[in-house]
Amino acid sequence: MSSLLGLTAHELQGLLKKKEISSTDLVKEHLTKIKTVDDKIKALVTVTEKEALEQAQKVDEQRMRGDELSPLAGIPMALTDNICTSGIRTTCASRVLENFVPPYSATVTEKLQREDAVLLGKCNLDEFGLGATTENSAFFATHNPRDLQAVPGGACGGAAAAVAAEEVAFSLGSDTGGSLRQPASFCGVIGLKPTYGYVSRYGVIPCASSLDQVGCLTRDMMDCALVMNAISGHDPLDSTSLSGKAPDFTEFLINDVQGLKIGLPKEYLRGGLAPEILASVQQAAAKLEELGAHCEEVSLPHHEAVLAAYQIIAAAEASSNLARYDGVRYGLRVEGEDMDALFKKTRSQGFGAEVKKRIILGTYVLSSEQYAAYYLKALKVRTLIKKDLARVFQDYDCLLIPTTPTVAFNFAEKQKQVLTGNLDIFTSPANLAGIPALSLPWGTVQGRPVGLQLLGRAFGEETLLRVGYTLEQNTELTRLRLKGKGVS
Amino acid sequence: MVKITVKDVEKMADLAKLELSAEESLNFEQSLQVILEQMEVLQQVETNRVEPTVYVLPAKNVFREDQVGTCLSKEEVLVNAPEVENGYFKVPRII
Repeated sequence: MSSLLGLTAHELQGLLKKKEISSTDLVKEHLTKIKTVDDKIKALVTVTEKEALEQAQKVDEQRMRGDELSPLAGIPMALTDNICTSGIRTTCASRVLENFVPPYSATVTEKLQREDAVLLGKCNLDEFGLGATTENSAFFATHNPRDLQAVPGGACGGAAAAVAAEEVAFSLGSDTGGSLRQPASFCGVIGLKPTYGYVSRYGVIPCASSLDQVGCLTRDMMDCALVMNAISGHDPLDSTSLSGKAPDFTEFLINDVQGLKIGLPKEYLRGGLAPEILASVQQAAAKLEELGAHCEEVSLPHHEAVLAAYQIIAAAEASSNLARYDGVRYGLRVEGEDMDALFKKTRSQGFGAEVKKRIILGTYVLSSEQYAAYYLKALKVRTLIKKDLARVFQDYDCLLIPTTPTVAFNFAEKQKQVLTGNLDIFTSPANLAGIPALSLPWGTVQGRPVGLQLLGRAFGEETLLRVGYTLEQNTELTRLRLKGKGVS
Repeated sequence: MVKITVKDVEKMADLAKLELSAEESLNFEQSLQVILEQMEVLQQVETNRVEPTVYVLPAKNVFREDQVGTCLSKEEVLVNAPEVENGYFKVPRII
């Protein structure tokens, strides 16, 4: 039997259905891969071998009995370690939560469990999601499986690396300003950040609540649709969760872009962009034209202010969310002579430098003297950014831009910069506006993957999946094989 | 142009219940200064008649029937607590 590694979830499901393989075989093969390569990649903070084998056996028994099983039943997957898993350590890659074992599961965890997907482990991230390279994990940095010299991106670098390294078939992560799409792009996998509110955030440890959204990392568009089917839908436990029934995302996989109008925002396709990235976007636009879509230049005038608005809002919300780590109810406690000393010692020893910096920045922009100049101003600019996008979406079905300004860079290359924020330039607009965005691999430059990004109007996943699927069906560029300088 | 001082950083740290080393304070002062200079771009955007966007979705209160549902047991809630006594979270003496 040839290797099962690197197959998509739906391809694996086909083999499981025909009983050519068992879920136990599948899980064992993936666990072996983890044991072989993860000491180099370090995608996983926790490996749940025992639980995974037990669950795989349960699924195999159900299949032998002839039970009706879901499309993800028995498929190996991983979750970013900010997604709560009952009874399984959930750390946010922070010393504060190093020993935190949640007594409950996130809604997305429960939904995947109900589908009988098999959890193999929890993925590394920048501490509390604050960072863009996974170097800010309190435990260790994750390496890019396409090239071990390169960062995997972040915050959810572990989740993208685990899929790219063929340790699991798919994974979930959260996206605050690109935390899921940017590593998807750097590692050469598909990443979808859905419309804000489509997927429950209950039990997902928050970074910036008005920006955070859970999404999936997969190898192809069919898997993207299948995972979205599993995780989306209203959740009474999340008051920002959308009411109504979620669509069947597989219905959006249509190999046809005839007549679709695709905008190319001119402000995003000039200065600061690596020439090979620009060339990739132009090549993709030409391909879409050839397939019958109309690509035209559009304008998003408030582009210049996007990063500043994003950084202020994200830091403000993160500083508020991180106030809960006080050493009283859960997590790290460092004793002090009184409450104030206990709070301060716990937080100072528990948080890493990047987290402290964002807390200070967030506290500053929210302080009474600076509130109007920074935080309120950023919220108003957010309105303008959202309106720019809404106006363009009156005439266009989706927008095409890069996911990142460059391909993955080497470790420590960005350390000298104060904020890695400029990496979020192409990804944060979707979070500020709450709209869906898809990152799709588009070949490589010197062995490092390039990511295309499609932005859609709110609830416009239909168009993103359709365009993504059409590109996938008509080119070889969207599905990268694991080879070269990485760990194959 | 705003000028951040080490004193500002220390004040923010105190508000956020953080204790910084002298080195950290100096480091954050410098980073914050650079970040806030980058934020100046916002001041060039005209926003006089623009409403702020706090949430992207229309904000509304979500209500449910006031009925007792299932919730975690006291033991489950306390399981991750650093210190517990008689079913309560224990903290240092406050008064």
